[in-house]
Amino acid sequence: MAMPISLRFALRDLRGGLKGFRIFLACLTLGVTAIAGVGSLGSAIRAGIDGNARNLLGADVEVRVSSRAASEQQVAWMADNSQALSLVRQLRTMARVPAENDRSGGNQTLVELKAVTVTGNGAYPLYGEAMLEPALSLADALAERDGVKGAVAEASLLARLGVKVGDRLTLGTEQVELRATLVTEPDRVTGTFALGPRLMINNQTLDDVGLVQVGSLVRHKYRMRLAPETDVKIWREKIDAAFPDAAWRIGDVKTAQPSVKRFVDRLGLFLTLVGLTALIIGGVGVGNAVQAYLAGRTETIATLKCLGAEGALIFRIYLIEIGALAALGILGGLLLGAALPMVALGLLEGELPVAANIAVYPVPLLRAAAFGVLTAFVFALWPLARAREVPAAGLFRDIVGGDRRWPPLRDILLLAISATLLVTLALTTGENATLAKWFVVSSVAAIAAFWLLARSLIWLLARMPRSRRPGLRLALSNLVRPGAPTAGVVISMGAGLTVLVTIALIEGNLNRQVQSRIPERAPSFFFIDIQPDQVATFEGTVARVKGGELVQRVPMLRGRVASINGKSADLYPVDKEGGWFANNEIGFSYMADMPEGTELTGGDWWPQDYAGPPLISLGDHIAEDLDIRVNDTITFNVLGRKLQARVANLRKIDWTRMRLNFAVIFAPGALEGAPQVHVATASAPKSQEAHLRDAVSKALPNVSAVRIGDVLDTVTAMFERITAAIRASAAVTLIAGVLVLAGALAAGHRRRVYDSVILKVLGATRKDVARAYLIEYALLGGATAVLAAVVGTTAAWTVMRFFMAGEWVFLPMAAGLTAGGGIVLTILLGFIGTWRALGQKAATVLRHV
Amino acid sequence: MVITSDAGATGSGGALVSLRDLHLTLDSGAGAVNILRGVDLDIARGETLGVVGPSGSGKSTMLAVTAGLERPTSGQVEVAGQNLGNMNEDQLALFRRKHVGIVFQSFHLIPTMTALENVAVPLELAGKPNAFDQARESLADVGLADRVTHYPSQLSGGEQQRVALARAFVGEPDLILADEPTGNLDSNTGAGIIDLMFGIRRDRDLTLMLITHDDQVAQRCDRVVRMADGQLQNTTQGLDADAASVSAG
Repeated sequence: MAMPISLRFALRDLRGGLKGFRIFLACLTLGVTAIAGVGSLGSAIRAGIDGNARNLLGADVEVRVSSRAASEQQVAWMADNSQALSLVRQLRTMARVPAENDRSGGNQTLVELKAVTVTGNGAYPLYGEAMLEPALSLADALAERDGVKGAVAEASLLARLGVKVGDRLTLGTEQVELRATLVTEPDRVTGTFALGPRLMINNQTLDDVGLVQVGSLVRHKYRMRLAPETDVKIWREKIDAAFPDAAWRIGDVKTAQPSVKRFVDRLGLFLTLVGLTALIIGGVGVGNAVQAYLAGRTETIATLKCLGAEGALIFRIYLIEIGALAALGILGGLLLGAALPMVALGLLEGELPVAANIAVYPVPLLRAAAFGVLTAFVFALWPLARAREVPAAGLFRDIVGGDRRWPPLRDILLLAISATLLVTLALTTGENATLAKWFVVSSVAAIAAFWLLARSLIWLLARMPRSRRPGLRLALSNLVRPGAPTAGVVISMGAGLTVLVTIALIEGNLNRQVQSRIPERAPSFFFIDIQPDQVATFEGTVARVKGGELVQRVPMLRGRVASINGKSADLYPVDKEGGWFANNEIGFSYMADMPEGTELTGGDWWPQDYAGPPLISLGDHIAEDLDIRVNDTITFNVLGRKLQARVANLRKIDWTRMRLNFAVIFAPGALEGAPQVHVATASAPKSQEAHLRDAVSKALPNVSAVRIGDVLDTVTAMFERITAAIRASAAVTLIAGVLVLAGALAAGHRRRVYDSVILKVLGATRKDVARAYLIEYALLGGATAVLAAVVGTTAAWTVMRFFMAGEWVFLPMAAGLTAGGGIVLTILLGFIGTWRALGQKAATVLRHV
Repeated sequence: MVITSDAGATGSGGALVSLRDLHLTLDSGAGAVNILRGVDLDIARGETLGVVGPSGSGKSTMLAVTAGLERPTSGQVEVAGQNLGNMNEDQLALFRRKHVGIVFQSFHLIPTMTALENVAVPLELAGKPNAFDQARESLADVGLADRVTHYPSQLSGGEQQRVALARAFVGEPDLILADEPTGNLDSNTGAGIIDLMFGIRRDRDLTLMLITHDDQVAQRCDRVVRMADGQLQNTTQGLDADAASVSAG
């Protein structure tokens, strides 16, 4: 079969070489690599979670209750309905070096304590293997030997307390002996919020050391191995039917690690969108490259038209060429993107929450390819449509092109359809449509703003009085002459710089909040698990420490939401906004007076002597997420007792203030009789902090102290890991912008050589010409940087104000340095290109002109 | 005044080309420029017409309008019995494919195609199955049988223009439009091209509109019209082109 004429002509045309398409390929490859890479990495992590779900959950099914154990009847049911039942209890507590071994004095730390079943068929772990060093069995390591109970700990605990295997630690009221270090813990998800290293003991030890008291913050996990043929769904229905009012949460391998998955999804979506920004910025480069390429082909196009080729054929020929090159760029991007997880996982070793499963994942690759195809098409369509309209008659005047006719309506419609498809694809990329929607709206707004600003700049410069200085005059006319790349460079470099300025400002603001604002007002410690009868001792102990001050003390209970306005909490998906509130055990408190500094956003606070039916005050972000209004009713399950409460008011919660705060606060009257603990914050001068902790720990061994500084460090470390990822992908957008700039400069190179030669012929020195170009690039870079600083600051302000509900301070250094870097980069790149132009010998050039 | 051929084929009746009261005004930065100001012209089938006149007088524009490449602001263009004013861009392209061959001053060969491919383009566009065989013959007719695989950049100016001639004649169009075909060539080479062009035209009995600055070349046409300020001013009888060619030979 004969090759279609369009393909035949396209292949002949491509013999001319791919000069000018390097930037085109680089832009597409970069953007597609970013999207495909982020998508593949996310898929690898998700597959890692799914493939490892049984080990990570440590069971086929897990029943979780907090603060109290399941009833005997419930435990018996679980034992009867499984092949093996294993109890794991977790709490945060203090581990201390006993006074006789304490070389430095007062040596103690908060640990994440885990008590496990070690005997029978329910021995921990039900799945996977716990590895110890030396290689003991876990049962042996944790057993009581010569009247001393055993424990194993992560290596970091040994380092922190300066102890070694064989040493003892005080836990609650007793001592335990460290028998081994814990090398692997199969159900541990790393990188999640942990305030201390792991210490593991057996369940008997935990019962003996006096840490579990009524209302203590102990998480009980009843883990079961089910017969292989068990249908987990039916099993869950059975347990729900047997204990309809149980306030527990059940997890199975299908629902493993929803929070990690959600985190991976969100960060993945965010990074995909940043990648898409890079691709779209690169799209400007794609458009410029296609335009420059077709500009070089105008004579050929006009000739073909003279010989009888219709516009449609011309369009098809160049669509095939651009399509083939785009396919090459996209393919390159897909290959690099698919390989990215292997490189990234090597670099991120130990930073990821779970071991990722490296493979080729077609879905993210297909999505990246679709983004690439649509972006290339959207940006190439305009110049392609213009090529179709090239007037052939120009051949008779030897001036072809320069005709700025608009493409016909059908091409504009085609462009609108492809742009809509691109937007739709962006909107359906992740589950969080809100973020994607904001991204689309703000990027369209930013591009429109840059386009408008670029046009205004050109308009303004064109109308400025002509300078008498030839350098300045040349610079200005270079920026405003027809076909100058000013608008394209301002949009693409501007967009790249804007992303960087935005991120620099958000990061700066968050850092400022975490590091400089909080410590002024933050207390030194959180104290948890204070029993009601220990309150007086606790307060007395704090008061006796020099400079010690009780900042806040409130009762705390735990429970679950059973229903909201009669709708069962089970019906709220766990992975949707606000899902955690309906699906997790939450902590709440009760109080008569409105906490100091509270801002109500709806309803009224109850009178101090209120004594009516249960009322609650609810955090307004939860109300918004779950569409709860004042006077709606929420039914809670508090330690097995159903409690229906009416929402009396909604209030803003500023978690950054480091005050004890609760999503739900009850009015007095409903909870006083329920089992509860107290939590408190206390402060002391720096020099007395250790003393405060030791004094409380000595007086009340079951009370744990969490140093606020440690919490902030943990938060900061997590925050830094995330911002590093974001900064890396933001850099990709700037690279895209630089590519566009480089492309625009390369496209204008011939004209610059000609200009500089003519100027030199007319008597200008190299310095004169160089100065003119310097002014041009400085104007271009300066205007772009100023615009990027303005748009980026607006974007950062919007994010801080409306999405993070934080305070906003303009940080001129962060914005200035980032934007200033942009100017320097523009001038530098521009100059590298120009220097070559300046070096050209006039005679050589003129002979060929 | 309608400038007609001696054949007396006035109007669209017997003329291959009929231009009536053509006006063409272009907007430029400095204001409207009247390029054609009322051109009337008939060219009979088989006639050769030379168009002379100073630069900017509107010669090339008249040629472009005749080829359907430029639309007049007003007036009527009829070529081979077809009214170009009623056609859209694609219909005009099809019209050119079928009826017109064009030779340019700057050759305008497609740089990425070989000589053979350049010549085959009109036939390929017309969907002719034996395009390359015909193109090869056409190249042989202009004496370039051994240059078929050369690219334009590998050919001399004269050779390039011969390829352009082969391309213009290969589809056996009714009308050849030549816009100063020797303008970029030295006089010897130019003379050779002119001989070749007139020779092929004579063999195939084609109609030719030739724009030239060279009065001697113009005199080889059946008829010569002079253009100035967008208007045709007078007409003179040319020499017998074929006789001239013979005498030159």
